[in-house]
Amino acid sequence: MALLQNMYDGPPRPSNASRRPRRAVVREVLTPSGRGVVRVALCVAYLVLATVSVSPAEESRVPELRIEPPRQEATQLAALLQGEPPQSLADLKAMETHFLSLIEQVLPTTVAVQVGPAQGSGVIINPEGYVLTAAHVSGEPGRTAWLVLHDGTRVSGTTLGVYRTLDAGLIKINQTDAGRVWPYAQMGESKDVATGQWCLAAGHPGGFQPNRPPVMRLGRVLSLNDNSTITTDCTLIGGDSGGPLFGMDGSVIGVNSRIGNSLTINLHVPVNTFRDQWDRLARSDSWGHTPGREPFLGVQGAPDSNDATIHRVFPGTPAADAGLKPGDLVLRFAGRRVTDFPTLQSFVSDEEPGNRVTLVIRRDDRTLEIQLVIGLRNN
Amino acid sequence: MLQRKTSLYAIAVCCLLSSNLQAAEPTSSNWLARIRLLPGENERSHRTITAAFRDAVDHAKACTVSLYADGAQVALGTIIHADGYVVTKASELPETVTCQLSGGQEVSTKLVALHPEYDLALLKINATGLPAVQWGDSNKLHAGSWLATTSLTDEPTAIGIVSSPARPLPKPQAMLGVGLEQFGDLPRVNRVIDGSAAATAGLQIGDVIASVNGKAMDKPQTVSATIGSLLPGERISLVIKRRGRSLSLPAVLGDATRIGNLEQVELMESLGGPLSGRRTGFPFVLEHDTVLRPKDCGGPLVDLDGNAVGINIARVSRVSSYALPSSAIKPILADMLAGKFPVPTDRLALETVSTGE
Repeated sequence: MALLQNMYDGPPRPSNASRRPRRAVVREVLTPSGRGVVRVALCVAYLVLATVSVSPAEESRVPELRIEPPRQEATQLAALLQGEPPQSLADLKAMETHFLSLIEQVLPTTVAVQVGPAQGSGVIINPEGYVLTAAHVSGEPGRTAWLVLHDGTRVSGTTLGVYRTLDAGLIKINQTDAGRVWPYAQMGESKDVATGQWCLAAGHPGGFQPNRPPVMRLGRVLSLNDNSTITTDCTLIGGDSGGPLFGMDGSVIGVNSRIGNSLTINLHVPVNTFRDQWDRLARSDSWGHTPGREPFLGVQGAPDSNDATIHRVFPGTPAADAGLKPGDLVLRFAGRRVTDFPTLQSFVSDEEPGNRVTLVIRRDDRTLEIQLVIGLRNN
Repeated sequence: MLQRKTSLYAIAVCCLLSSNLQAAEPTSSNWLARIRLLPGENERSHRTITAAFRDAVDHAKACTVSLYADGAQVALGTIIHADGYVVTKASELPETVTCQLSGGQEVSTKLVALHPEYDLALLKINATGLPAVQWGDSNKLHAGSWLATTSLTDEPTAIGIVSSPARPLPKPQAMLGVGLEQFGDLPRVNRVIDGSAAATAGLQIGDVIASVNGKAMDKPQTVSATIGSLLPGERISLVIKRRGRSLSLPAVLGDATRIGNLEQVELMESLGGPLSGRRTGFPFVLEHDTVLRPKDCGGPLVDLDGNAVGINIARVSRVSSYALPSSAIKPILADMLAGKFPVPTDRLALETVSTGE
């Protein structure tokens, strides 16, 4: 039993995997992706274009959104927007009228985002200029972001926190002009999202084009997966990452993240991820790891001891390459104090594969510094 | 300075697209149910949705034709004149096509006019007294307007919305993908962009470009100007000097607006089906999110009132199809009917290199 309680380093699986029996955890950690069933290639694209025009920032003010269907037939329209099949041209026209007014109001909130070589999209969600985007667009905290508003105005921003596991990133527009109010969308409630309901994705597919406003895609919610993704048939491609998924009340219900190899696999980060993690994102924390790029060291320890003693070092892993040995006691990881093995595990899980870190360990009576490169767990 | 600018122009197509292929967790229990041929009941393209468009396509379906070669559809077409004139996407047409009308009747066709810039072909079909398409005003469309691509039957081929209102497209720029410097009285390659036409053709740093399509080159600007006068997808022949030897290299020009790692771009764009061979270079387009196959192009795109607001001209990417907006092409179609765009004797000029399939 004690042996079974050994833990591998690396991140715990998200969702309910950690509540399953230990054996299952190990298997999941080692083979995290739909093994033997369907392997779906997901693309996360960072499009870099040389075409973003440089122009001085200009004034742009758009009032807050309030989208309400006309009172007459509002009930029927609401049912149609929830996914009730339209029965007639009149139904389609009612939906169209709603789409048109909704798009007119939400379009100015969608921005193009460029951070270093990565180009994506984003959505402004309050008058102070906070912009939701994808973690793989903003990259890491403290970088300069260039944002192009719907009318071509270019402004600078600073990247704040990134939660890589669910691909959530936050950017703040630099306030160069006191009191300036940005056009913004409301953050919706992703718990209220239901399959079948209509939705609109916006962004800059293929990258920003000077005479093209944010590009709208209509679709429906196809599935909700453990609060970690919303799947729709609003088609996405590189450049859309970070752009908003709007519900039919004009609020942001998700943020575009990645795609699969069918037109009906378009994945969005539920907006509640941003709300739940707002404090960490706003204070520029950087945590988690990009799905499919799982970091690991290659050591095993006990979850319930009161120190982080390494019990086993697996051959051919970063830990073995760096010379870690069974019996080594890990004291610090990248400058942070390690109190037990789960702490070490969580520190590793917040690193990206390829990062260089320094470990302070105690071996026999000596304290040693060990440099190693975080590995990419091979599926 | 000018030379520096030119060589920058030549390499201005630097490509830094990085993309990760990742594995997804099939977290949903109905994962397998999503792998199927027919759209699921919650999908936009489910029949319960498309059936509501029957009234919208009621007139335009009779103005839609299917163009066949060797028993397979190559394109749809739009009847623009009762005397048997059909417009369609030119670059999808083989030499001989048969036309099927919505009533099922099959008739022969003859190519009578071509507009290469818009990729439009005008066919005279062997039938008269036909219903001609009713044009709508594409200028009245906004992002969010419903659109239906007609078929020959009661229901549309596919539906979608306007993603972005009609706009001019930047002129396509052909690209070889080299950086050049002056070397004596000849241009010499000092950079070859990974994945570019130049790299594919085997150009190397240090190669001197002596001629392009038989035209002698004396400086980097001459090369840029020559390449700039051609179109993406065109075949060129280069004569280069490498270590004292003369070599002849054929190359297929790339597209400077499609920068990046082309293989990755193509992979991502085609995650959702084949793309049209010719999908750039139209002067004016309406971008919509209807999922089309290349062979669905050429037919009418109608609004909810059943009026044709455009002709579908290309499946462009995973997210977009292009239509030529009615406001832009109505005068052009009139000119084509009036004989102003005769078919050139050498139709090879139309050939483009298809990369979508």
